[in-house]
Amino acid sequence: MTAIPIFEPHAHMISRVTDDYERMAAAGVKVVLEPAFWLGQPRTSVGSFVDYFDTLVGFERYRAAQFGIHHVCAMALNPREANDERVRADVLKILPRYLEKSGVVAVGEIGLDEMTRKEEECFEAQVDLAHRHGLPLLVHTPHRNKRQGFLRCLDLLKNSALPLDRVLLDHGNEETIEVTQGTGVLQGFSIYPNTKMDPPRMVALLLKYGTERVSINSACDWGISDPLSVPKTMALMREAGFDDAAIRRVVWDAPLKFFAASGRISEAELLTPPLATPFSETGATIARGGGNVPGSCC
Amino acid sequence: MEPRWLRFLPEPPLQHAIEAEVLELKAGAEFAVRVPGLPRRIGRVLLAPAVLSLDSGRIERGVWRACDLAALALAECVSTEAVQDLFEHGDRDERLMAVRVLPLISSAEATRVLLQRLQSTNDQALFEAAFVDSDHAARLLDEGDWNRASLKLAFIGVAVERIMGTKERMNEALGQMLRDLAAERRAAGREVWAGTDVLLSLLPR
Repeated sequence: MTAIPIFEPHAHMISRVTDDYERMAAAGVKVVLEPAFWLGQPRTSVGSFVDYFDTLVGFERYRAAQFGIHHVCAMALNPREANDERVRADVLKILPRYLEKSGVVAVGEIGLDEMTRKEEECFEAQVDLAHRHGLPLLVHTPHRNKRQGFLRCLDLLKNSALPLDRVLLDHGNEETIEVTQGTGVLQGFSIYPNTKMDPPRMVALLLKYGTERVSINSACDWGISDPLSVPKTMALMREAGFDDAAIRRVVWDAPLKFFAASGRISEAELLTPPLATPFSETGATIARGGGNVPGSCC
Repeated sequence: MEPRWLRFLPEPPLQHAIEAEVLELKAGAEFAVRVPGLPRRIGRVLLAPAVLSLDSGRIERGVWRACDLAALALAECVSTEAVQDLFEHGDRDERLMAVRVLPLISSAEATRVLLQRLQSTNDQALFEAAFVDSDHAARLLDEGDWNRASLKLAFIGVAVERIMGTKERMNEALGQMLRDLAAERRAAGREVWAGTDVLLSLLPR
C-alpha cells in the first residue's frame, strides 16, 4: 500500500520545535503551509512584521527543508492586529512585495476575530490583494460567535471580485458546515485540542457530509496543540471505513488543488524532497536548525 | 554604455525575456515587487560555464542562473540600496540574486560589507555564492576575513578549484588554521579536506 502524502495546510511552525518536524516527516507530511498570524503578544511597529515575514520566507522554509518537508506560507495582517492602529496601515503597505515571493501561495490568515469595523476594512483590503496577486485566500474565523462570523465572512466575500472557490474558510465546526456546504469555499477544520475540533467529531462530520471540498489541519502553534492531529484523524477515518481515495482527498488533493491555484507549486515538485543544504564529503555542515536528519540531505 | 548583463552573452530567447523585464521596470513597476517573480518568469536554468573578466573582477558564469542575470539587468536600473534591500528582505532565491549582483553594480565597500555579513550565514548555497566562483573575496577582504572565509570553505568541503585567488592570498596564518583543522579531523577519525595539501603547497618553503 502506498502511503498517503499529507499536505498540512495550517501550521505555525515558527512556534514549534525540531522534534515536531521530525515527527511530522515520519508521519507522512510532505508540505506545511504556515499562515502569518498573531504571535501571542502585540507587535508595536511594522519592523517586527518585516522580520517575521522575512523569517517565514527565509529561515523557516530552510529549516523545514532540512527535514524533507516543503514549507510554503500565506502572508497577511491577521485579524487581531488589524485593530491595532500602530501597525495596520503600514503592514498593508508592505504586503505586495511579500505576496510576489515564490514561497507565498496564498493571502492569509485574514479574517474576523472580534468582528469590528477595522477588521472588516483590513479583510476587504486583503481580499483585493489576493485578487490582484492571483492568490487564494485563507480566512480565520472567530473563536466566539462562530456561526455569525462565518456568515459575515461570506457576506464580505460575496461583495468582492474573488470567486468563492478561491477561499478557504477555516476553523469550522458542526454549526458552520451547515453554512458553508454548497457555497464553493474550501471548508477548513482545525483539529485542535480543547477549543476547536477533535478527531472523533471530525470523522463524524465527514461521515455525515462527505469528503468533498473539505480540508483538515492541526493549526499547531504556541498553544496546546498537536502537529500530528492530521495523521491521527486519518487513522480514525480508516477505522470508520473511509478508503484511501477518500482520505487522500481530504489531506492531500483538496489543499494541493486549492493552493496550486497560485501557480507557484505543483504536485510533482511537492512529492520530490526539497533540496536541503548538502553535507560535505567530510560530513560537516554549517546548517543550524536541522541538517542532521538521515536521508534529508542532498 | 553597454549594460553589464549583456557581457554575459545570453542566448537570444533569454535576452529578449530580460529586455521585457527591463521594459516593465522602466514603465513604473517596483523593483522589490518584480524581482521575487523572476525565478518563476525567467527560470533557474544555469548559464553556460565560462570565466568572465568584468570591470568588477572575474566570475564563473556557469553558476549563474537565468534569473540572476535578469536581476542584474534590473539592478542596473535602480540604486545599490535597492539591491541591498533585496538581500535584507528577500527569500533564498532573491538573496542569491542579490549576492551575485551586488558586487557587479556597487562600490568595493558595499561588497565588502555584504561579504562580511555573509561570513555568519548558515545557508551553504549563500555562502558559496559569496565566496567561491568569483574573485570578489580575494580582491576585497583583509587577511583576517579572507582566512575566516577560507577556513569555513575547508570546513564544509568545497572543492578547492572553485576558490579564486588562493595563490595570491595564501598566508602563514591560514596555513596554520588549515593544519589545525586537519589535525582535529584526524583526531576524530574523520576525513581531512582534500584541498588542504593544495593550499599548504602554496606557502613559501
